[in-house]
Amino acid sequence: MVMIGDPFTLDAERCLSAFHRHAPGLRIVGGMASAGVRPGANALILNDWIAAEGGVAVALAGNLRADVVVSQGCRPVGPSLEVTRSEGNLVVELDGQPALERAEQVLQSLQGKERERLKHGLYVGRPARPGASGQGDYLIRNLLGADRDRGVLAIGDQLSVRASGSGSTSATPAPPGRTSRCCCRRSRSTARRAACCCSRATGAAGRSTAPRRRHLDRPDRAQWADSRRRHVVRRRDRSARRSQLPPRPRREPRDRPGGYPGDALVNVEIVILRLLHVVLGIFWGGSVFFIVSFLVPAIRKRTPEGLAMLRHIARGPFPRMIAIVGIVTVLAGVRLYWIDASLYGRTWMRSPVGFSFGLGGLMALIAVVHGAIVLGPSAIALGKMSAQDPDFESPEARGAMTKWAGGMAWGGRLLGLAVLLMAIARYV
Amino acid sequence: MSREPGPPVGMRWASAQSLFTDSAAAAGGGRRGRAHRPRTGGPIDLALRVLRAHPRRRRARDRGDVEARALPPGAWSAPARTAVISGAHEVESAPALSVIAARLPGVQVHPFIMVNEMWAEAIEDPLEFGRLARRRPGPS
Repeated sequence: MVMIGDPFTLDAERCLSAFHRHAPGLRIVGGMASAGVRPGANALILNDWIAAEGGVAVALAGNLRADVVVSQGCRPVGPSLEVTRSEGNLVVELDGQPALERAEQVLQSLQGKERERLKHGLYVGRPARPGASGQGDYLIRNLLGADRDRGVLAIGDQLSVRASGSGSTSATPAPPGRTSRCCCRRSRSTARRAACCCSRATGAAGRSTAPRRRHLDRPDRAQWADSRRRHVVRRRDRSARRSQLPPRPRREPRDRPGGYPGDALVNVEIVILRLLHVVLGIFWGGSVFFIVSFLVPAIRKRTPEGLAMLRHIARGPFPRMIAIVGIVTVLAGVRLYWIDASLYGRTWMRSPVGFSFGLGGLMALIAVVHGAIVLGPSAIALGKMSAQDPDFESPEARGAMTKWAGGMAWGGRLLGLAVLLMAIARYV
Repeated sequence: MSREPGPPVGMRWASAQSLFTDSAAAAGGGRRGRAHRPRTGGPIDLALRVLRAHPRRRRARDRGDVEARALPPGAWSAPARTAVISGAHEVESAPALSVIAARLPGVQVHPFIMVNEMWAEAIEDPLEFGRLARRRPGPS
């Protein structure tokens, strides 16, 4: 069976438990969708059925044999390390030294590209066969956490004591390779760095490892075991209470595209923001374009029509109105950018599309700040002067007019570049 | 996956990848996209697709609309955030679509959906499990 689930809504452990119980021996492969960084952002599709939650699976039966291969997409970093002592899933000693100390030595000795790779998350490679040395020889396990007081590392696997006399250990199904290896993720952008802890930015693995890591940070293992017992009792009590309640109504899968409440709200917000951004942006850009292209040259030539228009603009509500329009346009754009960035993360921000929107937005932001700080007060001052000097003949009026016209030209250029970048961003 | 040893049964697997930024074109909805369809030499019984959509089309609804129009019958799809891998290439941080398709004579292909709330009961109840494992989209 091949299955893919949404990491935020599908309890994969429950599903797998059900299959394990009722269909023992069934081989299940698959994983978690990773496109969305928040609930409702993934799309799982089965024929014409689309859902942002749950999962899809396909069972194959008949004249078929399935060989399952697992790959975590990791690269080894540093030398191989020998596990010389372990307790359960805790690695106590590596190469005869406290495990954490030895791991830190190895990680600190890494240079250049290998050190860079650590940013993508750290895992442990367990030998799958004797003489493991290269890619394909290791089973990748999560590094759950570290206890600095005891100097141990916890990994997502049980290590059994192979020979109690020597104290050496070997991973349960593995032949006596007794080596482990630090590995990091290959992908650049989804993993976070955490000292000696694996970290997946999204998905069920991230959710499942976090609580364990918290427990393991406790210095006292007895305390941890006690807390674990209390947690189990609490869960039992909770399920007993739940069994006395009337059953919850079942939620049916939503089988219409766009039928998810979260999406609908986001869609409404995006539609409103885009309307504001585009309509007000057209007004803002169009006004500035008119002023820079036609009014400023007319003012510089001191034509009567140009001066009359300047008087009309400077005395009326136009300077305040254009400032408000610019601010609202930019705020709507910032919010749209924020929505995209929170949905798709740094990958999108670094993509040509995200970069273009970001740069365009920055230029628009500078333009609006420039307008609010320089152009608005200049225009208001011009309006006051025009009451006493309608033809702007005095040196002060001429100076203010020149300053305003020059500022408008710069603001217009910035805004023009912002509009250009916004217009082409989604096609670069 | 491989075929059971024995007389040939005509099973065929094929994969394809597209780097088109337009999901519909990548999925084969367009003239250029058809060239990237996996060649199974016959009708496709199963298509497993992993997609990294264009950043501006990654909202579930936009993507779903495009996908639903472009998918062949019997297809199954999931989105990826960072990288898409096909037989020969790994595409990171760019729109891409990878498809594995199969012609599977003699194999029953049984797709179903998984809804989280119901699986808790399915662990204890074999009847519920049987119902869920046959669940198709639409009212239960």
